[in-house]
Amino acid sequence: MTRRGLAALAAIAIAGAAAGYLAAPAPAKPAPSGALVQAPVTHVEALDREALRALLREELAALHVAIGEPAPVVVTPERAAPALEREPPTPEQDENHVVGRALLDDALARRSWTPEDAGRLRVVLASVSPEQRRELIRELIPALNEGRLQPTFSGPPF
Amino acid sequence: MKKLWLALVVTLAGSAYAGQHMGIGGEVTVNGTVAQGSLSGAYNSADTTQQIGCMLYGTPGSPAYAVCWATDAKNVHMYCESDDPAVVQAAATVSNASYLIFIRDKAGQCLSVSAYGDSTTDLKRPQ
Repeated sequence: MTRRGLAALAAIAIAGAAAGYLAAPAPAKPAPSGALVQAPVTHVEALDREALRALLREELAALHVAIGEPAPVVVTPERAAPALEREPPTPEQDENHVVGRALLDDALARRSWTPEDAGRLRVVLASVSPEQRRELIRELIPALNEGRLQPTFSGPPF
Repeated sequence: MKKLWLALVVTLAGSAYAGQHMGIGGEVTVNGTVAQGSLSGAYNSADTTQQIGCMLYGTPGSPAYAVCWATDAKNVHMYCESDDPAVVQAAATVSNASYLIFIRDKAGQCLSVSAYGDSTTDLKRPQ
């Protein structure tokens, strides 16, 4: 075999080994929580990225120690969202709520829920605050289900 | 004998074309915390007791409410309510041709509202 032939053979062997190394699948490892789905990477790229991540972690940790700050906290959208402002009920809504409460108390004392009660509550619910409405509905429905209020009709309860 | 075979074929064909029906007669049942039945089945029932349905209640600036109710032939009632948008959306799809199933928790809140609308549900018969 000539010298040129030997050189060509060596080049092919080296190229084959390199191709096999690059094509080898990266070892399976669990995805970090919250990580984005990544495209498949070669073994070499994975090594480089891991090294880069480790370096960045070290640098950031050193920076926080140097300036005396605690490690940053990840803020989720839920934490960042401001709490919903709830407007207090108006005096008129409070008055209507009292009427609604009296209506329920009266029905509970009678242990019955009539179409007239339903009609009156429908009017009350339209004129109270959302919180007061929720409170009245969430008192009525369990009372009907538990038999503390016996409906005298079939159909919507208000 | 020929007529007998013809009658048999017609009978079988008739049952095949009758189609599959959901719920026998679509009657309303209330079983613990689960109520179900077809709206039209309740409408078509011989008694005047059975009823099932959902209503939506909305006022400006506050979440919409869904309230579902059912009364079976034995006059057993069940109700649930929810302002959860998913439940409200499901309740909004209930129509006269729906087969409705809803489940409540102890507090009377709707755990689920399912409205089926397909060829197996009854249709209202003219009265």
